[in-house]
Amino acid sequence: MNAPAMTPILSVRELSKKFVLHHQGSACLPVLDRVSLDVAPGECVALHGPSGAGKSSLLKCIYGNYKTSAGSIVLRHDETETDLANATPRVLLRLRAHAMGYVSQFLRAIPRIPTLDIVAEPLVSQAPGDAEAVREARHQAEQLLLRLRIPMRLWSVPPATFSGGEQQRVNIARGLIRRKPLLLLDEPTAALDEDNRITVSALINEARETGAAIIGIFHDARVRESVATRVLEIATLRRGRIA
Amino acid sequence: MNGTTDEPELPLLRAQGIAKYYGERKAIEDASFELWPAEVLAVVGESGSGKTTLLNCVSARLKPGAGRVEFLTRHEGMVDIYALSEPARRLIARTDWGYVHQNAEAGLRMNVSAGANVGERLMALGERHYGSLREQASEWLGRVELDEARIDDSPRGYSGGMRQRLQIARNLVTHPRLVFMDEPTSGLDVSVQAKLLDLLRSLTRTLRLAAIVVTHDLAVARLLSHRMLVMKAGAIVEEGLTDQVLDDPQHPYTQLLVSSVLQP
Repeated sequence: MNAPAMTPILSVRELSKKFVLHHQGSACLPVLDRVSLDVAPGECVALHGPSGAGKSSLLKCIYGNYKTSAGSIVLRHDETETDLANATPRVLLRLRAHAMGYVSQFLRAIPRIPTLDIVAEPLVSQAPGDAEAVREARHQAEQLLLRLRIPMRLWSVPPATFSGGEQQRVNIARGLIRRKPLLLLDEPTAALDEDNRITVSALINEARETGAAIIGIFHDARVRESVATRVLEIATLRRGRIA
Repeated sequence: MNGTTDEPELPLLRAQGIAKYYGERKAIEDASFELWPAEVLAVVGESGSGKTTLLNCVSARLKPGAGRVEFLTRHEGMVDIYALSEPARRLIARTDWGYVHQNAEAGLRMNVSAGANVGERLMALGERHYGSLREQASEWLGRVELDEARIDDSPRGYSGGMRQRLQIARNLVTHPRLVFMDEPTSGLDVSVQAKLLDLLRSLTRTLRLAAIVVTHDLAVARLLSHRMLVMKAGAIVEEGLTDQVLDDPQHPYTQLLVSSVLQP
């Protein structure tokens, strides 16, 4: 499928990432070599390729979790273009709060905080102290948890003791509660059963249909087929070709 | 960082070229950084790296040998804190700033009640009404999850974790915009530590407090801070978003630090 003729929200150009390990004889591990791609609103690009090919590293470079070694990552938001590869921490934090979301494979749980509050937090933090907004955020969190089949008796419990699949669904709910124009999904369905896979696929499609641009890693072929509008082989993403 | 669209142009605190020598021995050399409103900044590094000295220099507790520290005041814009008169500097420290010591005893008055410890900073600002002082002290004891019924107890009867909560309440009662913390959880048992971290995390987020937290514990930095400075031998060797510095450390020293601990 071809990319829609819309202005891309994200343009990656000649992005390279290598790790230099100073305590292993300054060993240099190249993981991405001059990768270029464009992603437009309403697209869901699935990154595909063997593990170790750099799929997660690409998402982490975009989110600012990894430092980019060379190249640029331009995000267009609010009529402003920002090169994420050179953005200050402050700008990255603001863009993370408003423009881009990242759902990882694992929930980094905050001890003692109940599940419902963890899911509602991205909305609550937008309006600290506004009781009405907090109520509405909690209501939306409940709706998401219901849809993702997290039993109500678990909502007031911190997710630290939940099963892997339950934690992953809490993580997805937290990652999707706030609509963001760019979503980065790193294997969001790895530990899910059939019913929940279908629910998560539906949530991803809803986000895309309402205009989000999505880049994801989906190992499960059925999920990939149901959500991706484009599949990119990570091995072919290099040396000047713009995907 | 929490979604205001009109963010101010000026940082809350700006440190430029801070240096401090003890005789020939260098404690800090040419340290510069900015802190933004509602931002939590962690300063990490091993013992003796200059973390606490830097904290003391920027919190007006220790005059640096060189450099400037500017603070964004409520009414007069950015002021050089060491150019202020002593009373003006003390007023800022008592109202707009808090300082949480590693040992709670250093930040509390052990001979007066818990309630008086919390009320003291308010009294220093001219609050004299007993009922109002007591009401605010009681409210803050509740907010740091201390039993309000023990308002008249001496902190001597409190556990280490409770004393640390009391010290935090004492600091926050004047609604400061910036809190300095020196290893706020490191003297405590692990279970008490986790509870206190949650409390600090939720207080900084809900009150939109800016904070500088000195810690040697990378897990504390991960949980509390947005951004991180890494210090080694008196110099800032790396800085960046907390998750970026921990997940993709660049400097040899940071790589060593991160690889030396169990999964922060």
